[in-house]
Amino acid sequence: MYAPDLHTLYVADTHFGKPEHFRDAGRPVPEDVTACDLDRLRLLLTETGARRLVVLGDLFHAPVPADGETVRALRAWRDERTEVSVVLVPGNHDRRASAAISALELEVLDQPVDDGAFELRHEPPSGGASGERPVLCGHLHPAVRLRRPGRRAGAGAGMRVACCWLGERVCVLPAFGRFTGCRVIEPGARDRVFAVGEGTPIEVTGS
Amino acid sequence: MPFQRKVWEAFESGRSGLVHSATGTGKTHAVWLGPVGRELERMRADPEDSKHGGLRVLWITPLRALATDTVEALSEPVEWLGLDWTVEKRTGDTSSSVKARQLRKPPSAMVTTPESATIMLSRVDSGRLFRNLDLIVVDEWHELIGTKRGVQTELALSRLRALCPGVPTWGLSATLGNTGEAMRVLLGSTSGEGTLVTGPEGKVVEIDTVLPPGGVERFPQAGHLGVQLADEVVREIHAAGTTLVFTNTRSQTELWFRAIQKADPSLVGRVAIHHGSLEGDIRRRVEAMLRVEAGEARLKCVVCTSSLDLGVDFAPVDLVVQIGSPKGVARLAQRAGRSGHRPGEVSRIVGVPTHALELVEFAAAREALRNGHLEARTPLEKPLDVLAQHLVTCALGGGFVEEELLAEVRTAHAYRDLTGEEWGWAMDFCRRGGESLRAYPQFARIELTPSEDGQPARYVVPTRKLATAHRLGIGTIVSDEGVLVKYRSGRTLGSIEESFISRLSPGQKFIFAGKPLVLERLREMTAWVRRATSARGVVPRWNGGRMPLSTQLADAALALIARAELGEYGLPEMEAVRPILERQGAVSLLPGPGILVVERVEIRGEVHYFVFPFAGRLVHEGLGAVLSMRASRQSPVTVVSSSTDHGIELRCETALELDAEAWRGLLSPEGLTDDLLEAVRAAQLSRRHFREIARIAGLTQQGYPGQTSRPSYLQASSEMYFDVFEEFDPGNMLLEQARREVLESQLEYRRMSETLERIAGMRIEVIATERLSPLAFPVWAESLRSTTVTSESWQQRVRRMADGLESYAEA
Repeated sequence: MYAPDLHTLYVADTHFGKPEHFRDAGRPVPEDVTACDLDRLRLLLTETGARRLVVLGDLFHAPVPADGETVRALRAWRDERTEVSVVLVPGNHDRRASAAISALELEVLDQPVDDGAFELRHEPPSGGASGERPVLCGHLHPAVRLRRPGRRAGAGAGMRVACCWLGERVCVLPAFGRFTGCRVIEPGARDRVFAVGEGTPIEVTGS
Repeated sequence: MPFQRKVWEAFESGRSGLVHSATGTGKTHAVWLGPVGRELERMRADPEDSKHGGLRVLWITPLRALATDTVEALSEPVEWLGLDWTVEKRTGDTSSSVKARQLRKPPSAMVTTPESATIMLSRVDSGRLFRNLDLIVVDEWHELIGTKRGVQTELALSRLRALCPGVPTWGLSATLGNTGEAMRVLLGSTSGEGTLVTGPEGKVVEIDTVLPPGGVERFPQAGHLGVQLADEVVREIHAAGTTLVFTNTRSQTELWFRAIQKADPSLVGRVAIHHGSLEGDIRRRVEAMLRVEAGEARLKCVVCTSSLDLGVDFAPVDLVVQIGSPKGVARLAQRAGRSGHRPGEVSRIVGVPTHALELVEFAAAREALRNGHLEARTPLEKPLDVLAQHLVTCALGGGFVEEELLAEVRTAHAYRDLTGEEWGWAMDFCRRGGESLRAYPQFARIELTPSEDGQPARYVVPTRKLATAHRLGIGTIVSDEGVLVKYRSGRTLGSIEESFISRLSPGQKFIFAGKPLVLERLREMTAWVRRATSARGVVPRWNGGRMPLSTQLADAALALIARAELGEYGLPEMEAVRPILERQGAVSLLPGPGILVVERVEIRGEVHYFVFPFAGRLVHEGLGAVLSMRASRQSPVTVVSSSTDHGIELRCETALELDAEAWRGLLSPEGLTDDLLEAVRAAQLSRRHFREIARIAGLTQQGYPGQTSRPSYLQASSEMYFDVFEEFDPGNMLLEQARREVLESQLEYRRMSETLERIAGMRIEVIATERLSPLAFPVWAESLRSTTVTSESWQQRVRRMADGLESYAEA
């Protein structure tokens, strides 16, 4: 999500390092996944001309070594984009990845953060937004299940797509990472839901 | 006893083989007494000879629950003959202390499962453990062949034969349509010719069918839940001592469990329910209660699915009831074999049709059984996921030299034609994560150790962590990952599909494990429930594979219908269904071996076509997709298809006029593969099918008993892998395997192309009917079922339509 007035690009749940962590445990995940996620970030920064990138938690998936593949790739990316400041609102997964985070020399903020437009958090606040500003967060990896009209649920029916979930003064961003998975949400009656995939998000509220 | 002598003689001359018979009686001892007899002779010849210690017989059985019974059956003659052999079981239930002791001091004979056998092969000292084997037995081979567990067994056997060269293998199997092939698959290429022995004459199987008392006109024409005949079933249950009631789906099991108790409340507490989604403890308790103790079983009746199919010798009953279509000839005969314990007794099975056409199927099953037309179980060809698992197992079990293992794997029937490319890919997958051109840095499940003393370099598993993870993941059974159903007390009842439970809201009632429950809340893949007071509620549906009608049974049914067309009814089931077939003949045509009937009917402005190839549900589903695609290619229309075991419905929102020639074009066998692949891609079928492959190849891991939660940092769904591979590693052969498996096992590709070849030589008759014909009605009803949410509203709608059908018949 991009806020032009603040020149800020917001993403959540990149889960960098997940492929590396998996390979370490004997599960083959192609390294290209990380490169692809970084390419998407590069493209978004170029397209928007953002001066600031805010990661709403779970930048890293797991403890990855500070000299590993993932950190090296991120380091290279940081070095080519020194004009963009990167801010991390740490998430639950980041707690175990402090070595990698300090290796990247990121600005890490204590939440909640008031950035002038939003109250930034990783997890949505349990009682809903209570502060002055609307909450922008991640953590949930929200998705919706879309059904082809007239088809029954289950086998052969529809598809699951990541979404942006807009509740009352709370906005949950979809997970940015390519290899993260998502969870189907149950939106309230007055919530709005936008399917996020290729191109412009599509509103799918009420489906 | 001639058949046993045949086995002994073959065993004495060092041969391997397969003993098969219709139902299992006495096969066990035929193979067991071979090595026992030889040992007795050896003892007699030289009582001081103690060279022959260690594990002598490895007995592999597909079912854990059978292991205990098998140990008892094997111990009996050993004690009786005064042989100092020990017989023990080793399964997933065996405690680790016993397992450790068994390795230090192995029993003379070990009864185990394919999984436990493979885990033993993953031990560094497996060579020492298995080097003294006299015999390997694979019990219930018919249950394993045609499955990935069967392939896993083939690979384990290839390994065992390499560790203990010349050891004979004997299989025990029910009679199949391809018994000879089944033996060749079991023996692989290193066990010689093999001796096929026909076992004892099976018990006579008697198939009776419950005829609808009010006549077939009052009987449902469609559906497969109907419990109209519950009273008749209760009467049969009372007449027998113990009864097994088999159904075709888990939902049907739940429904019939309720229906039987409702029809006769005196049976409450003496009827139990058993199906694959129930918690293991609940199932085991029911299994134990079925055993006859002190001359009496504690249960009168168990309602079950194929979950109780295995184990002919285990807990025999007096009567078997089959609810709904028998689906296959061999399947019905095997289920029947569960009844009648005393030698010479008749195995009796009572068929209970749930709709009119199933009357024909029961009659057809009896005809086909009499003519010996049994189904074949087609063995699987080189699944790479199972091979990848085997490579890691062998790397753990003392390591392997690449060329040697390739030669060994090719001795297994499933991999006899394994290409160098496929082998290379599987090796790369374990060594580097994928083909070497792609980047999988730091990945290595197996690693080459440097060679020492001129020995060839061996592949081993580099870390202990990987070794443990692999051992936990050994096996090819992928359990349904569903939502757990739990009481607040923490007791688990079983699991249920997410797609069903997510449509219920808290407070809503449903039936599960035979109990009325109220959903309290759904959290983190657990549905918390409490008991409901009223007995009403929705019955869950599982999307599990529904078995298709077999070719043998479909052909026999078509032959009976063809005879009926000539006015020859004869059999009681055929007489009962006569009014329906006569009406079909009057409004349309009866299908037959040489004629394909296509019916066209307009319902509320929509054109519906019904085709009746009688090729089973899976073929019809695939064919329906292909036909829809081909039809919509010709003109821009939306075509929706649905199917049953007998026919396919195509529904066109805008009128689509198709004559016999047009149908011939749509049903052409030409270009089937391409069209089907396109349909599979469009419906994302292989993506869903990838789950099983991902599990077996070690991409994802399933939970195991005693583990409360999985390491969340390592969670990834198979669909995520599928997408990532498709994007970043499209040459990944596991994707190709998923596509192939969808075509072969999900859509029965071979049978589909045979069906189209057959149709090409048939007369096609397109008939316009005023309303749904008796044959079209069940297919149409199926499409309704697929669009509505609860079964109740579906039933109401179907009932309404059924009224219309009847009045149409009277007019």
